[in-house]
Amino acid sequence: MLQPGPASLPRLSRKIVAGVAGALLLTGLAMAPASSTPPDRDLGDDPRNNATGEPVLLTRLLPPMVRGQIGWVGLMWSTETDICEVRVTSSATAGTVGYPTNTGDHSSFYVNDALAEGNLDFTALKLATPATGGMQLGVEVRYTRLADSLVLRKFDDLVTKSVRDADCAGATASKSYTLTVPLIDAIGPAVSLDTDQVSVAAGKPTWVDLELDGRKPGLTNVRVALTPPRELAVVYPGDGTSSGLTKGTDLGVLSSDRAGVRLESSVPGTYRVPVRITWGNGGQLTETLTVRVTK
Amino acid sequence: MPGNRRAAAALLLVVLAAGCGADPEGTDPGRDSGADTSVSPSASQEQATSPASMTPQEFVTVLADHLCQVQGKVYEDPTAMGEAFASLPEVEGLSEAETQVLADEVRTDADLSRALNEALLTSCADA
Repeated sequence: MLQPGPASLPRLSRKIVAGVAGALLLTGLAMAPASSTPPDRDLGDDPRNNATGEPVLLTRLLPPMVRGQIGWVGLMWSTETDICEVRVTSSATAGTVGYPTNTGDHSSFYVNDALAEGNLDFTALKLATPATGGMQLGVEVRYTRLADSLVLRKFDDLVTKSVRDADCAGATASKSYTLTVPLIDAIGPAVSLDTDQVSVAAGKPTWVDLELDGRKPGLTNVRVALTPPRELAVVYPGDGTSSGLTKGTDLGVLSSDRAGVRLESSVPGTYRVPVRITWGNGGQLTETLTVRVTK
Repeated sequence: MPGNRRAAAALLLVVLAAGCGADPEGTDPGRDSGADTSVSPSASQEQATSPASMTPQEFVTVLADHLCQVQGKVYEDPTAMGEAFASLPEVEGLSEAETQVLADEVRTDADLSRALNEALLTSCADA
């Protein structure tokens, strides 16, 4: 659902979006006029909107996410008038919202923090959805309406052009929206072993990676241990009794990680080895790994 | 993130290079509804003229569908998302340069931009 609700705000801070340098096909393309003298008008700009136009959130539906999933989503924006020094912030009723690292406490448009009337850009938000319940996002965009229609034109190259400080002159305002994040529950087991077969040469101890896929929330302190037949020796990192994950201790929803084990056997053959995956407070699952020991 | 964005920008600008440098004032068929298709363009004009096989108005629909698909996904990292938003749709029968010409027209023409925004609201809501 989309619920706009404009409200006036004091002028924005000038500290905006260091290092904005992305590119979006509809805004960032360098379209330098053949002549060195720019045209004296912007055909895409209606100056009657300069005091009233607002940014328009074109995204009405966010992509579905699995409960517990962490991922980036994009909000597409256009605007009814030229705007600059745009800051987008968001709050969630459950779960969390994060921003690009270069903007820190907010997001802006991808290419620039300015946008010409009618053009497009998008905002990146990092969502961590809750394990249970629903999730709604409050999205607020703060901006300055450019009073002068000629400061920013539809064909400007916003990859390189800056519309800040003295160039960003006009009234400031804000607008708020509410979006629902469609959440779905994963089906099946909380975790799965994506590696179903490995091969090692007889007499040659070999480290192999076992890939795990996370499907549900709560996969903390994930460990892997094999129950090998007597012909197969298994060694874990640090000579422990199990292997942890490579990237960290936890496995996110719809994410993958690997656990390494060293296998050694002097007897060629094919072995079906139970793999016990444990996590959190008592979670466990046993899968089967086929180990082929070649001559 | 800034580095990633720069990388995405560089990637896009390489891709878009064929469509750059044209004078939008002179190559915007959206402002010339009476385009004379009976006149063969010169080689230099050809690069900046929209392909005959698809009108800018038709391309608006294609581009809106493409952007809806991009927006309809969850990305593991913002760089991948940026590259996806920056990408052009693959259109059968059109070269990348021809697609770029159409994208430029949509971006620089007020009526086409408006049509794209309206199409996005419709297409993405129906996706």
